[in-house]
Amino acid sequence: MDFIRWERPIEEPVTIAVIGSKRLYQQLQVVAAAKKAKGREFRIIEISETDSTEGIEVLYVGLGYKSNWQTIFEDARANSVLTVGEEDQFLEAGGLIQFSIQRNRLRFALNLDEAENYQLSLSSKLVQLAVR
Amino acid sequence: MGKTFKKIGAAFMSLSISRKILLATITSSFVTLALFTVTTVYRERAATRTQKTESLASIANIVASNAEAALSFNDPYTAAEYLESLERQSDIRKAVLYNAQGELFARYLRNKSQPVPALPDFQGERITAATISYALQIRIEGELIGTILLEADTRSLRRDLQDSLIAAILLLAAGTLLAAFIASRTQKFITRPLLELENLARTVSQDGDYASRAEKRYDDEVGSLVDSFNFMMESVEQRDRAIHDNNRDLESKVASRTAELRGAMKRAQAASKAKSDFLSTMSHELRTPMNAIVGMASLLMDKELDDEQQSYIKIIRSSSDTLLSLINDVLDYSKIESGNLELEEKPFNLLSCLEDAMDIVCAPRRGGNIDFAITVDPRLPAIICGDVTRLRQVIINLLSNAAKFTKEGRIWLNAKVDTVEESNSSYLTIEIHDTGIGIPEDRRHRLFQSFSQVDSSMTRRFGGTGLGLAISQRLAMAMGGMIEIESKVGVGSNFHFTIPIRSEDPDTLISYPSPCREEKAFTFRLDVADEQIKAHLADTLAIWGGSSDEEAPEVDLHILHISSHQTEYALEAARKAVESCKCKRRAFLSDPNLHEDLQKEFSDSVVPTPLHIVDLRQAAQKAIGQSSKVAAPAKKVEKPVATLLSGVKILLAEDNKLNQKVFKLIMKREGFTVDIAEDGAEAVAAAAQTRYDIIFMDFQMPVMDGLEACRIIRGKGDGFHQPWIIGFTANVESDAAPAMHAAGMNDYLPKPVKDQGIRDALRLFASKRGVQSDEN
Repeated sequence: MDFIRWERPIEEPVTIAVIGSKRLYQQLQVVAAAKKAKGREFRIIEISETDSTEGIEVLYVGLGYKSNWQTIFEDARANSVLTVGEEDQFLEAGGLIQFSIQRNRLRFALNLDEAENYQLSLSSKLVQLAVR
Repeated sequence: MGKTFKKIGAAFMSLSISRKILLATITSSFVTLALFTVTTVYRERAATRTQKTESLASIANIVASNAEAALSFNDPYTAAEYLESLERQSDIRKAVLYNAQGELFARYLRNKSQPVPALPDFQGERITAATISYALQIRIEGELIGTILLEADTRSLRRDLQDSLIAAILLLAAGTLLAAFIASRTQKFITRPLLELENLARTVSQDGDYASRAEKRYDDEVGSLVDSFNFMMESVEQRDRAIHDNNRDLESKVASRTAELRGAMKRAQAASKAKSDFLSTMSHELRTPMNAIVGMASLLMDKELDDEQQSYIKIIRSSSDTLLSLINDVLDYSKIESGNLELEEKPFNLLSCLEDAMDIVCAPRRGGNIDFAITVDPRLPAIICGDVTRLRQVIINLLSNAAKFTKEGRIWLNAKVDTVEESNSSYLTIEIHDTGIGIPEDRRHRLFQSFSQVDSSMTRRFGGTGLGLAISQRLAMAMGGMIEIESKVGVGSNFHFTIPIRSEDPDTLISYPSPCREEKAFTFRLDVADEQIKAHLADTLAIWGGSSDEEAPEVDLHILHISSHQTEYALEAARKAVESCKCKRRAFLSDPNLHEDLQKEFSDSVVPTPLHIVDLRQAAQKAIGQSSKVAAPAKKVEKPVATLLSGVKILLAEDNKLNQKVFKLIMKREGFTVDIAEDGAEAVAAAAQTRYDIIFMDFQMPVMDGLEACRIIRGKGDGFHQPWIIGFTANVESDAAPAMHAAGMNDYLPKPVKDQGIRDALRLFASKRGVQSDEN
């Protein structure tokens, strides 16, 4: 979140929504609790693929929702929500950040062209770390 | 510490001025430069450090910022890549990233063998000797995500410091050298004039040449010092000249004054000599005619003359005696005034001195209306040391003075002793009381002035030169006393003086003249009108063992004083007194005129007044039935001297014809014939021709005086018959004695020569010749 700048005003705490990954949701709940203890608050919610993305800053899209990507991205673009996924072609379809495992390292790629449409800007530091 | 500092200070103070200036300049410039360079170096070092720290900090911040994402996304590879980029910063040796848990995340080591430092426990810079470290915590939104530690080498820093230090030292050395150079140049401007001044001062003090001047170089303090020095030199030079001139003046003045004084002294000495010559000449010249007058008068008195002639002769005799005493007074006085008075210091009999003086004064006044009395404190020493002639002279003067102004009543001489215990010294007090006319208070101060009497009319009435008291006072003063007076007009006067006495003889008058070995008590009664005299007599008798008893019907000793001078009244009074008192022994005290009458009537011993202590003692001894141990000195019938000295040859050396004649007549009456020599030379010739036993030699004679003649005779040697030489001198008193002894004379007689004197001299010769012949 520290490396992304929203062009719209965002409400605190930052809301992270998860679609289609119970495991990640739970994982994030744990991380959020840890962060809260360090003085930073995150809201972690679980939504369905059809739900509106209004009031959400970061949206994780799980595996198996390729068919819904267009509507989701559409909505996310409109609400300026950072979309994060890990399925192939996620970036090509219009997502912003795609995680992948390369040579046993967790890496990520960025869709810098699309960021403008989302009315988001990604930090150059993030860009340096990104694979692509 | 303080000591060494002081030592250094003292050493500095004794350096020469040029060195002082040099040293001071070098030291001050050195100190200034040193402070400056030290400050500069320090500041440079501090600045470099700050700079280094700041660059380290900024590098750390950049690296931290870059590493944020890598840390957040746990990407140590990327982080290591970032750190690798520090390779271009040559002085950074280590760069280490730690994650939020403090574990090693990424690192860069310039030297791979170096150990990886642990998580730093500090923030910001830490400087050690060799390194500067900088630690920075990396946070995102306040959350700690890691820590970066940079460690830089300070070698370059130190090299810079070294360089600037070397530069500073070089600068310091150069500056100091420059300062020394400048100082050595400038100090000459100060010290050269001073050195010149010093050299000049030294030269002046060595040579005393105050004419030289110092050269003024600059118009500074040294310049004004030179001015002052020159001014001082000038004033010294002036003063020197003035002193020199003064001294020359003074010398000439002293010389002229000395000459004047010498002249004056010579004149004064000559005057003094002329005066004493004049006095002795006068003495001689006056006495020589007096000699003739006295001698002739006494010769005439032995002739058969009628009463009228006899009385004329008596007048001549007494007048010439008076004239003689006047001459003596005048000579005495001038001698005292010129300071030539010398007192003898010989033992003499005090009592006989007092009694003689009294006898001399009262003898011509017997039968008058005056009672003469003498009392002597028996505790007085019998023999004292001093000048008997002068003491007697003073007493006679005072007594004569008292007698002169007393018509009737009594004249009483009292002698007493005062002893001061502490100093063990004794004083003799002589008091002379009279019942004369007295002296008014306001006239007393004139009494002891020369040629002065209380009233100038007195001179006409009572006669006298007025010298007697003046002489007496001066004599008393010479003896250590002073005559004082108590007097009441119409009642009488009391002259008294006190002089210290020295006595080597412990005998007092108590045991004198004949010691009373068996003290025996006796009673006595005194019928003496005068209470004071009575008290003194009682004292004396009490000391001898007597006790007074006024009321007892019978006493051992009754002393009766007959004060009236008219015979019938005196006898009447005596009869009454005798009837009123029984006694073993009675002694009348009376004027000698009543002697016969009293003795006829009462057949008691009559003691003539003034009472002599011997007579009183005899009376006392008779009263207690002691035979007098010492018989009263029987009147020795004087055998004519001629019988003692038969066949002696006598020579008279005397130039004055009159004196020759008088002497011849006296000697003829004594039964001698005399040869005459006209002067000393003749006498020496006569002595060589004839074996004279006695030569009478006048001191002052033409051709050769008596002393010279005597010396020649004494110088003739053993083979020469040495006569007994008797000098005649008009040169009164003691002056003659030393000269006489020095010349070898045996005896001397004062002029005018009287027959008794000649007889005494002959007797002395007779006794001495006996001794001489024994020796031979």
